Amino acid sequence: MTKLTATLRIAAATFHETIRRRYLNIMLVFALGMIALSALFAHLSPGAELKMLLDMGIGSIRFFGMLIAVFLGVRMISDEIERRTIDVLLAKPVTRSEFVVGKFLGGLLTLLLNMAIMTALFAIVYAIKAPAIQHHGAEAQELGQTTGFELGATTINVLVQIVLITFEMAILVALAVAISTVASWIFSAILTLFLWVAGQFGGFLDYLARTTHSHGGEGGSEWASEASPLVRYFAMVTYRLLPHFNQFDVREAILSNKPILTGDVAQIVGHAVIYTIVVVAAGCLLFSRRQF
Amino acid sequence: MQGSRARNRLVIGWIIVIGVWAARIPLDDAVERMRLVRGYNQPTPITKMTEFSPTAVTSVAAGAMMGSFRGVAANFLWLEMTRLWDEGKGVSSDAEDVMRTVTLLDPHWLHVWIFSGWHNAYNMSYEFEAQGDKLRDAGDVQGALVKYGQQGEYIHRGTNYLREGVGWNPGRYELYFELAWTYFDKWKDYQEAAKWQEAALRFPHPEYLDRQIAHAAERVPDMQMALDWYDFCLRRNPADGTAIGATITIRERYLRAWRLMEAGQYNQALSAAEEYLLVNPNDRLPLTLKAVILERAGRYAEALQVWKLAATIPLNWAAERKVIELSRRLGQPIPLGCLDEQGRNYPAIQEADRRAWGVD
Repeated sequence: MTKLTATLRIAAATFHETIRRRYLNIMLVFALGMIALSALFAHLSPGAELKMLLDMGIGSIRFFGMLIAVFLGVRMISDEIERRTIDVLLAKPVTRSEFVVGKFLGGLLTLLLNMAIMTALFAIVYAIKAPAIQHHGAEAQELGQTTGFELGATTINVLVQIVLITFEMAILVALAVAISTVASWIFSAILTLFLWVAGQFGGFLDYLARTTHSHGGEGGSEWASEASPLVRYFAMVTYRLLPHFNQFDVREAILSNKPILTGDVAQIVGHAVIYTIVVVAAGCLLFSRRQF
Repeated sequence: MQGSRARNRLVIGWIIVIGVWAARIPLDDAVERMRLVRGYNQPTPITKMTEFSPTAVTSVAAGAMMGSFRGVAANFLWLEMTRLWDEGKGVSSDAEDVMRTVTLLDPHWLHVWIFSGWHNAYNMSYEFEAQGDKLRDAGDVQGALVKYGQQGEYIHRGTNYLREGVGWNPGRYELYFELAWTYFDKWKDYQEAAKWQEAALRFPHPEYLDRQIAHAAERVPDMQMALDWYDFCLRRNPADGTAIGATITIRERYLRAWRLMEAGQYNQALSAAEEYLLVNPNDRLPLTLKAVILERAGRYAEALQVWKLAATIPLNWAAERKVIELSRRLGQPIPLGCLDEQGRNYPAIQEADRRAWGVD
């Protein structure tokens, strides 16, 4: 109970501290501005209003969520080290693991708050624009000109996408915290951003790793058949090491009115939770040997 | 002692962390497989990167790096395309480049494939048609032929865009329909149009598509197929006015001739087909039906004459194609008369046989 209390206290203190950080609040303001602008961009794209609305709105939530997660995660521990408050904290009956986990949880809470604010604004924009888009589509549907889109189903899919983005950002916070336990915040930010970008390439690396030697064989192309075993091995190792952020993208399902099954979401979320726990645990282990 | 205990705990900790990380790999693979099977994980151009032209590879690679922001980038580029369009630069090479890049960034955005296909097959091809017309009016027939040939190339480019879009989006009816319409309206290739229409019907689609296939079948002509499709439309919606009207028309004007032709009674079929031609001698469908009956009867020379008459109807390029086909079959020179009154003959150019397409 005492361990949990210490962790939660650190988390609460971290939360109260980070929600007041100016650079995060500025990012949030920009995010809210972009989300609001998604309505305007939708208006500028006749025939593709829904796509534009969703791409801009969800894309903004993802992009700014990513920035908030990275810069939040890399600064939490680094700032404590720079200000030398880490010595005071660790002098207390708090283990290093409790410190790292508490920081992560506090950052996660801050991220959740920011995601909730962005989602709330997007929900308002969506609630105003989506029915209007569906209404225009419904007129064409009555004339037999199009198959239209179902507002209810699309709304559920959008919510699922935002939930998945939240878990994606949680992994990002965990990575940022873990890396910042051993590196400066600048290096941590660069590396975390790199991992996020590289993590989008999962599909391509998997394709490179799986292509066979035979010309025109299953999954093979002329180019792939010329790729050496070394390239394929490197692609496989890189694919395994990198987090697969592409798994959290269900945009195509939203735009093509496909239902996203609860079981599938649970699978993705479950994997994300395990990955997050592993990364935070690795961060704890790295921090346990850190000298100040 | 305490130091070694801490070190041991650290080692065990790393073993557990790495073990759990490795143990979640099957779950990771299961998630990837699930996404592929469910269709959440649509393929992207990066996996076909080597099949694109060198200039397209940059866009493909940039799209891959953007990850799930490809869609946003595509949206912004499309706004740029809208700007070019509003400035009257829609037929410029810049607009073409932007369109192509957007298809590479977001190959599952149907609107762009449809727009690109339409733009090439209609707008761009018309640019060359207009240039050909100017040259023809100035007396440069060969120059005009070259332009008309380029016109045909752009129609081909339009259909190629749509075919590529179908490849990326095989489960959506829209692109199949657009392809069918382009063949129907631009090429007057009703058989090809009917084929793509049938493909479109396999997916959720609006009501009018079923009527379209019947309409294309009428023009092939295949009256039985047309009737079967109109019957389907009427079973689905007994109040379908278009299907009712078309069914009456076919039964009144063409069905008897068609059935007689199918039964091999060609002379009676011709008499039946000519009944309506007495009322309207230049009606496209009865002329086409008469020409088809003559072909079936093996009377190719007479069929050629009927096709030539049908080809004088404006924009009846299906008839002009038949004139070329039969002229070659009979060893006759392809007449200049198979050009319409404005001197255009797209299918002839598209045969890519300008030497054989001479002047009579």
